[in-house]
Amino acid sequence: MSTTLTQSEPKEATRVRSQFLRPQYQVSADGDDFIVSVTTPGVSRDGVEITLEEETLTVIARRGDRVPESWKALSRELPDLDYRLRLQLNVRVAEEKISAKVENGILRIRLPKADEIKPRKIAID
Amino acid sequence: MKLIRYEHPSLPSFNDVDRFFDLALRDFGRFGSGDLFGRSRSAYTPADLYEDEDNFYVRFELPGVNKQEIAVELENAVLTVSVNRKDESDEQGAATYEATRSVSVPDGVDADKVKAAYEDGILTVTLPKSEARKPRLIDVG
Repeated sequence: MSTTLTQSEPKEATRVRSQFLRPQYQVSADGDDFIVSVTTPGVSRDGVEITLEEETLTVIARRGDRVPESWKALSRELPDLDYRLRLQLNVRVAEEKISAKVENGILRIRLPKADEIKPRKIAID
Repeated sequence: MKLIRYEHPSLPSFNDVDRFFDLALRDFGRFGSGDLFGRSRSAYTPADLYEDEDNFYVRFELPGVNKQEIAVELENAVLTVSVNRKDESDEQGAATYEATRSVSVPDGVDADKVKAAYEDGILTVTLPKSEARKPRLIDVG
């Protein structure tokens, strides 16, 4: 942590880009798939970026719910920040089959298990 | 088999702001959570109040509910939004998700013309100012 009391203000754009809100999420299983549900109010499908790099799943969800400039805020509680969630996966997933949808402010990511880790029945001759 | 390996609290990516909101939201959750009030589950619902020349606007964060499950009520300049639904994603099946939030809005709202729209988990209620409340240009005679 910086020990200086004052610091030059970073430029607006850099400041906004480097601050994220960590969304709440839930993991559930659906057959051979995992479903990660991320709570991202204010985000539409255009604002979502999902990347899988090695074992790290990164979700960036940008709020698209900016209010018109003519609105004057009398009281604010909703955060303005975009969301970022990074998860270390314990299970190999089929990267090319990952799918996601956004509905009513919930982002649902479906992560199918990789074929090589699915349980396999072995026939006995 | 667990999907997520571990949650490392000090990864460099989880900066101070992330942590601040983690803590803040966790406390909100506890405060609003139903245990104290005997409800099965409830959520803290943040709200914003805005105005422009013609309307007041109240925005609520209500992620993951259906339009049909939201009720909006305006009484004595208090706007109340409530959600009551069955939580389909819950494995027990019977859990209910509840959220209620009341916000005081300024006087002078045309109650008959209040509108609400729900998009991407955000409910926006538009409360038109009554004619008497709007700024008026007065001619100097």
